[in-house]
Amino acid sequence: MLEKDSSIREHLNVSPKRNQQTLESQAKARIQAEEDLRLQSEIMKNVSDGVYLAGADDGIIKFANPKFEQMFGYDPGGMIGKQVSIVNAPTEKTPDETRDQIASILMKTGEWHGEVTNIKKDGTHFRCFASVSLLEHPTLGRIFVSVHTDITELKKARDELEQRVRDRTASLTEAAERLNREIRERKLVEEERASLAKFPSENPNPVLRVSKGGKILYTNEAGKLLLAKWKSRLGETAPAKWRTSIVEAFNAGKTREADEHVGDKIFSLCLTPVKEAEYVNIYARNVSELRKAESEAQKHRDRLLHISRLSTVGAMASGLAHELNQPLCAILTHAHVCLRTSEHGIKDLAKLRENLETITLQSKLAGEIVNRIKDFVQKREPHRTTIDINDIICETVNFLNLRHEHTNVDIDLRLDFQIPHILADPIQIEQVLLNIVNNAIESMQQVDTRKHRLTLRTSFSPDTSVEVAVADTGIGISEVADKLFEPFFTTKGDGLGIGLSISRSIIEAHGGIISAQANQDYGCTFTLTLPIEDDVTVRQKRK
Amino acid sequence: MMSEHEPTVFVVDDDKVIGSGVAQLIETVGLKAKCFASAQEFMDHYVPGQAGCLVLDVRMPGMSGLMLRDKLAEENINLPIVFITGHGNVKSGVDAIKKGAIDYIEKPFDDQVLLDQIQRALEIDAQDRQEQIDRQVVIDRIKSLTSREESIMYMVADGKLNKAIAYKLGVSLKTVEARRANVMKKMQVDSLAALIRLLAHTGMLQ
Repeated sequence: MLEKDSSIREHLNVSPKRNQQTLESQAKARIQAEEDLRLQSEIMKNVSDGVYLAGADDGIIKFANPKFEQMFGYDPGGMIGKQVSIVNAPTEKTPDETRDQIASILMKTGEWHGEVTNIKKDGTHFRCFASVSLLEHPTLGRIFVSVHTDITELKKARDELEQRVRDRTASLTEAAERLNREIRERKLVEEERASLAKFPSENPNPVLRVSKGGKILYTNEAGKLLLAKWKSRLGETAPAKWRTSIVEAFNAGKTREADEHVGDKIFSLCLTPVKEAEYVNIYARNVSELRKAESEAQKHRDRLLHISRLSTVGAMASGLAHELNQPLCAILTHAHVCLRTSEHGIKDLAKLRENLETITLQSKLAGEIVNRIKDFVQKREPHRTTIDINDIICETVNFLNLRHEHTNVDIDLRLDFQIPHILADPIQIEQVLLNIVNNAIESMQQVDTRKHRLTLRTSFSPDTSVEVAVADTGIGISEVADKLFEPFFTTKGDGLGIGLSISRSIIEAHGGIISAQANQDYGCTFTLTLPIEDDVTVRQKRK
Repeated sequence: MMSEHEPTVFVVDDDKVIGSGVAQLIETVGLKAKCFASAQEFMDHYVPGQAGCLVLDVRMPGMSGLMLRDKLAEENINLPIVFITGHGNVKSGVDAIKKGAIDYIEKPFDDQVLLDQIQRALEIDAQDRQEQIDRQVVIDRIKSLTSREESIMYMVADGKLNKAIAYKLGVSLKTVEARRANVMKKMQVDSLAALIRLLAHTGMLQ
C-alpha cells in the first residue's frame, strides 16, 4: 500500500529551493513532476481507498478520487463542491455536528482517525475507517485530507469473529460451569460418603461388622458395649453361640434376629449377611421396653386366664360346696357312730374298723376334691403335654359332680376310646370344657317343661384332629350365635361374659377351632376341634 | 305285726355311704333304721301303717325328697320327715318347713341335732298314731249308742240340764236320766267332765 500521507504532501509542497534550480533541472523537474503527477494521478485513480480533500474552513469537497465517488455512489465529479458533511450519516449527531466534532480535534491536533458511519448517495449507511489530516496547501489553503476505508466487510468479519468468540466463550464458559458443577457435586458426594461413612459411628445403637466366620472386623462406639459383654476385641471372634448364628446367617444368606442381654438392657441383634463382600453386618436395637411390654402382655393374658378360672370356680361354688359336703358328712357321721358305739367299750371291733376305713376313704376323696380345685385355681404357667381328651371330659364331669348335682339332667357320655393323644395344656382345656358344660347346664335350667339331656361326645379324624361335641336341650342360641364368643357378651344377669371369649382364645392358641350351633330340636351344640400334632411322640390308643 | 308297732327310721339318700352312716348312728341310740338308695325304692317297700319317721335327702336323682313328700301326702301317709341336704338354701328350707317337715338339716350335721330331731319325729308319729287309735275308740263307742242316746250325749256335753233336755225332746225326766246313764256306761266315762274331755280330745265335740 502507498504511504498516502507523505508522498502526496511532499508532492504538493512547493519548496522555494526548487525555484533556484537550472532550467534543465527545472525542465527535468517538470517532466519528473509531470511523471510523478501522472503516477500519482494513476495511484489516486486506482487506490483502493476513498480519498478526498476538503477545505478546512468552508468544508467544501475540493477533490475526491474515483474510489471515494464509487464508495458513496456518486457520479464522477458529483461530490466536488459539496459540503463535506454529506458523507456523514445522521446518527445520534447530525452530519454537521459530526463534521464539527472531527474538525475541532483536527484543528487542535492536526489529525483524527476513527470509525464513522457514512451515508451513500442513495441513503445506505455503511461503516468506514476514516483517517483525516490537516495540511496547508499553498493555493487551497488549509485543507484536510481524508482517507476512508470501507470496513463494512471488515466489520462484518469482525462482528462474525466477535460472535464466534462470544459463542466460543459462551460454550467454554458453559463447559467451565458444567465442570464446576460436576466438581461441586462430586465434592458433595464425597462429603456425603464421608458423612455416611461416619453414620454407623454416629449411631447410638451398636453396629458391628463380622467376617463370615465370626471375626469382629469393625465396631462403632456403641458396639463396644456389646464387645465388652462378649469379652471379645476387634480381630477376635464372637462368642461361640453368636458365631454359630453368624455362620448360619451367612450360609443361609438370610437375616436372622436374636436377643442379647447387656447389663439391664435387652438388644435385638439383626445379623445381616452381605454375601458378595463375605461379611455379616450386625445392627442392634434396644428392645428393652418392647420385651418388657411383651412380658407384661403375657402376664396380663395369664392373669386373665387365671381370673377366668377363678370366676369359673366361683360360678360352680355351690356345686363344689355340695361335692365337699358329701365326704365331710360321711366322715362326721361315721366318726360319731364310732364314738357312740365305743362309749362303753368296743363290742364290735370289725364294725368299728370298717367305719374307720370309711372315714379314711372319704377323707381322701375330700382331699382330692380340694386338690382338684387348688390345681385349677392356682396361678400357673401354661404347660402343654400329651393328653387324652376323654380323661379331660371325665374330669369335667366329676368336677361338676354332674351326676349328683343336676339330677334332672340325663348325662350321656359317648367317648371314642380309640382317640389319639393330643398336645395341649390339660388345665386350660378343662377350663374350656367346664365353661361350656356350665353354660349348657344353665341353659337347661331355664327350661322346666322337658326332660333334659347333656351329651358329651368325642371323635377324631385320623392324623388330622380330635373333636369334642357338647350338646344340651336348653333354651338354645339362635339369636346370639354370632356374638357368643365376643368378650363381655353375656345373657346372664350376673355373668362377666369373659368365659367363652377366653375359651376361644385358649382353643385358638392350641391351633384349634370352637363353634356353636343351634340343634334341630332343642338347645345347642358346642364343638371343639383340636389338631393332632405331627411331633407328638406318644400316640397311644386305649384298648 | 311287730313291725307295725316298733317304730322304724326310714333313711333315704342316694349316697349309700351317708345312708349307712346315718343308719348306724340311729342304731347307736337303740332305734331301728332302714336304708333306701332312692325314693322309689322306699315307696316300693313301705307298708302303709308302719310307724316311724323319714330321714330324707332333698336332692336325689329321679324323685327328689320334696317330690316324695308330696307323693306321700297324696296317699295319705303322714310319716314325719326330717330333711337333710348338702345344698344350704333358705328358700327350699322354708318351703320344706311350710309343707310340714319336722326340720331341714344341712350336711355335714351334728349327730345329736339329727338324733334329737329324729326323736321328736318319732314322738310326733307316735302321738299321731295314738290320737288316731283314741279317736277310733271313741268313734266305736259312739257307734254303739242309739241315735237317741247319741243326741242326748251331745246335749249333755253341751251343758244342758236334764230337765231342759226332757222338755226339748218331749220325754220324761226319767227317760232322760235313764238314757244318760246308758251313754255314760257305753262311753265308759263316769263323769260329765270325763265325757267332755273324751269328746274334746278326739275332736268329736260339736
